Parts: sequence; structure tokens; C-alpha cells
Amino acid sequence: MFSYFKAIFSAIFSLLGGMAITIREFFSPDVTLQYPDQRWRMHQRFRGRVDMPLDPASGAHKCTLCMMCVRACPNASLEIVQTKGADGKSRILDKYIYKLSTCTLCELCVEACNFDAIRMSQEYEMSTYDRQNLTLILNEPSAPLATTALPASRS
Amino acid sequence: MAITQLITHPGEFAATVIAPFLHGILTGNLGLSETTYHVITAFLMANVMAIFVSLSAFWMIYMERKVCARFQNRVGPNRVGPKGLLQTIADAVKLLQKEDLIPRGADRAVFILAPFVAFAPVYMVLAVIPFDKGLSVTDLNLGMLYITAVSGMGVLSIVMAGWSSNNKYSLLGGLRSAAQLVSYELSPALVVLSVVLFTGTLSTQGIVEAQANNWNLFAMGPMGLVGLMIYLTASTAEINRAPFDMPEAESELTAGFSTEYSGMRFSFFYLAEFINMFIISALLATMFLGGWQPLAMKIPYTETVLHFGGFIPGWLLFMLKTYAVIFVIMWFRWTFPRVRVDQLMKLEWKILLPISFVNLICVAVFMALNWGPK
Repeated sequence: MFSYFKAIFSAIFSLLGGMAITIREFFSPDVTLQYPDQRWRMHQRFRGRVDMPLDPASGAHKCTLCMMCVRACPNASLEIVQTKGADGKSRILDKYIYKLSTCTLCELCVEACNFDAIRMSQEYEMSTYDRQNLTLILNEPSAPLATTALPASRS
Repeated sequence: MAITQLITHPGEFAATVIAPFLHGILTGNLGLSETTYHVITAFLMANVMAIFVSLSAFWMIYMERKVCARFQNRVGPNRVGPKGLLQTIADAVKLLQKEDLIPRGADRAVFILAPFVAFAPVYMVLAVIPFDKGLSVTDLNLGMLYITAVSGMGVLSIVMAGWSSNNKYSLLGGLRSAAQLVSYELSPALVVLSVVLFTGTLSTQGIVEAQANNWNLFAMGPMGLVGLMIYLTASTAEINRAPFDMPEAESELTAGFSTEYSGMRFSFFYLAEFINMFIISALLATMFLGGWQPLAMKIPYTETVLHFGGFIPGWLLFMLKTYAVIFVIMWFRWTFPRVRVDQLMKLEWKILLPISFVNLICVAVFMALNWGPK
């Protein structure tokens, strides 16, 4: 008889304990995000696609054509096309071709760069309908997406 | 004056303004007989309740989804209409467009009839729910007996649906449900009996009126709390809601008795389930939480009565209490895991039923010793 009531009361208390946990969740904030309207601000070390920022001081990119990134890339996703300058000696960056289709976002190119000319951006919405769109030319004005402000995000 | 009365005392308004107005038009201007007048008013009341049923079902389905989302730290429906309020309407429109399938080999007549048999008792029970003073479709002097008798018919529809679908999942779901519902009729009936014994009336309005100075929950002492808990548990099982949703345990029986149903027929089962939940909560509020009465609590061993909330209209109090109970039932659903069939039977026959018997005997002794409400 005692164990009968003990079982009932322990069951009631354990059920109330469970209900206390769920009601705490009821009043805690949402974890989901209304994705197209709200976005997470990516954390500092998030590895989005490679981006070539402009140096605010000079207004130009910092690439010196040392080719360290091209050598560091394990799957040949980077390709640099260079031209000669007007004096016939200096080298000028013509196209910094970045093939997102083969890139694994390993960050080795960024670590190899001695001049902070490239970085991993916060850009993660990279899907596209055409494979052609995955070949980006980073030193052209259309490329640097990561410099644009991200839409309003949750704090 | 009349408009404020409509808000504060809709029952009186219906009795003193609407009923004489209709009576005047129908018997006076149109020259109809008294009998025709009664038939027409009954028909009008049925329509009002039908509107109430559909609106509250829409609201409760929305509430269920929102509450569920909150418990899971989600947002819930928020695209259709403001705050997602019209989501249920969008779902209903979708259900209406669905193909109405009747499986080959099904018992056609029974299959077609089952959803309506599910809905009819639920709709009938609504007739005696006391929404406010004088505001119920009818005030039967055998109200609680009527509710117990009519709501027992609900099991029939589930067995019908399970049998006629010609599907083993449906049949097993229907049989499980029959066992469950028949078992779980008993202890709520005993709790109802103890309340009836305590208040001395079977009329739902009478039970509410008896709680003017002390809600049954307080007046019945420990028996009130035990009765409330038994009624809440057993009713949750009776309406097949989680954690007692064996008849439609999707991991075992796909969707139980409603496996073969689609479109409007399916939505009728869904509607009946939600209105059942409303009725269970409304009855709980009526029996223990004072129905449309504001908070009244007599402090034990003194003559002081604690009153609070008299300024809120009765129907609003009733709705607030009912929806508070509905919230608790939803809270159960998103907290407890589903019990096994043997655990379900053990809970009813070994725990709830003996305790509700003892509870009833305690109330009887209580009343015999003249400790009841004066």
C-alpha cells in the first residue's frame, strides 16, 4: 500500500518536473531565424568564399603577384593572369581567377598570402543556377561581395 | 444601454431583448405558431453554435501550432495573415481541394458516416455548456448525465472508421481506441458524480451557480484537487491526445483509424478532436473552477470569502478558464512521451479508478456529515 502511493507521488513529481522544464523553454527566446528576412551575422573566423578587399588607404588591392596563393592551393582553384606595365618591366594583375566550383574553403591561400591581399569573406549564399557563375574574377569591381553590408541580423 | 448589456450580460440580453424580438416577429408579424417559433429558434441556435464551433476550432488549431512552436523554441505559423492567424483557413482551403478517397473494399456507408458520427456527439454536448449566466443553448436539469451519455457515443465513430477502412492499421487503431475510451469513461464519470453529489444538482448552470461563494476546487478540499487531476488525466486519454494518443500512434499505426481518410472527412475527425478538447476544458472549468463566476475562495475556518475579478464579464471569465485548461492539455502534449498500451490500462484500472472511487466515497461521507455548502 505504501509503495502504491509512493509510486503515484513520485510519478506526479517527476511529471511536474518535466512540465517545469518545458514551460521554461516556452518562455525562452526563439532559436529559429526567419531566414530570408533575418540572417545571422557570421562569426569572425567563418570561412566564406575567398575575397580580395580593397585597401582603404590606397583604394586598390594589395596583391603583389608573388603567386604564393596559387602554389598553396591544393586543388588549383586559383589562377593569375598578369600583363606587363607601360614601362615593359613591372607586372600588373590582369585577372585573379577564382574557381569556386573546386574550392574547398580550406583557407590555405589566405594563410600563404604575405600581404593580406586576400581573405575569407562572410559570404555563404553562393548557390547559383549556372556553373559558369562559379568562376569569379576577384579583382574586378563586380566581385567583392563581402564588402557590402549584410542585411539586418539578429543580435 | 442594450449594447453594454450585450457585452456584460449576454444571457440576459438574449432573454430580454433578442427572444421577445424574434417572438414578436415570428408569431406576431408572420403569424406563425408557437411550435414553429421554437423550431426556428432551435435552428438559429444550432447555427450560432456551428459558427462558434468552426471559429473556435480555427483558433485552437492556430493556438496548438503556436504553443507547440513556443515549446520547441520556434516561431510557428507567421506567413499567412497577421502573425499567421489565417494559416488554419489556408489549410482548410487546401483540405477542401483534396481528392476525396474511399478505399476499394471499404464498407462505403460506414466509412462515409464515421466522421459525422464523430462530430455529432461533440456538437450535441455543446448545447449544455454554460458560457455565461443564462447563456447556454439549453439548461437541461440532467445536464451532466446528458454530457456523460452523449460523449460516450464518440467511441462508436472511431470503431466505425477503424472497421470500415479495410486496413489493418485502421482496425488496430480503432480497437485500441475502443479499449481506451471504454476504460477512460469510468473515472471521469465518477468525478462528475462526486461534483454532482457535492453541489446537489445535475444542471451545468446549477453547478456554476453553486460556486458563487467558493469554487468547488477549494470547497471540496483535497477531494477537489484529486478530482480535478483525475478528470484532467482521464479526459486527456478520452480525447486521444498525447500522451495517450495510442489510437493514432504514428510510429506504430501510421495514423490509426484515420489512415484512410482524406480531405473534408479527415478534417471532420480533426474538428471533433479539437472541439472535444474545448468541451473537456469547459467542463473542468464548470465543475471545479467556477465556470463564469469570478474567483471566490472561502478562507478555511473563517467566514471571509475572497472575491476577485467581478468586473470581468462572465463569458470572458469562462473563456479564460477554459483556454487556461486547454493550454495545460497542450502543455501535457509537448512534455510527456506516449505511454504503452499496458501502461495505459494499468493507469486507469489500478490507479485512477480506485482513487476516484475512494474520492467519491470521501465526498459522500463529507456530505453525510453536513460539511457541504450550506
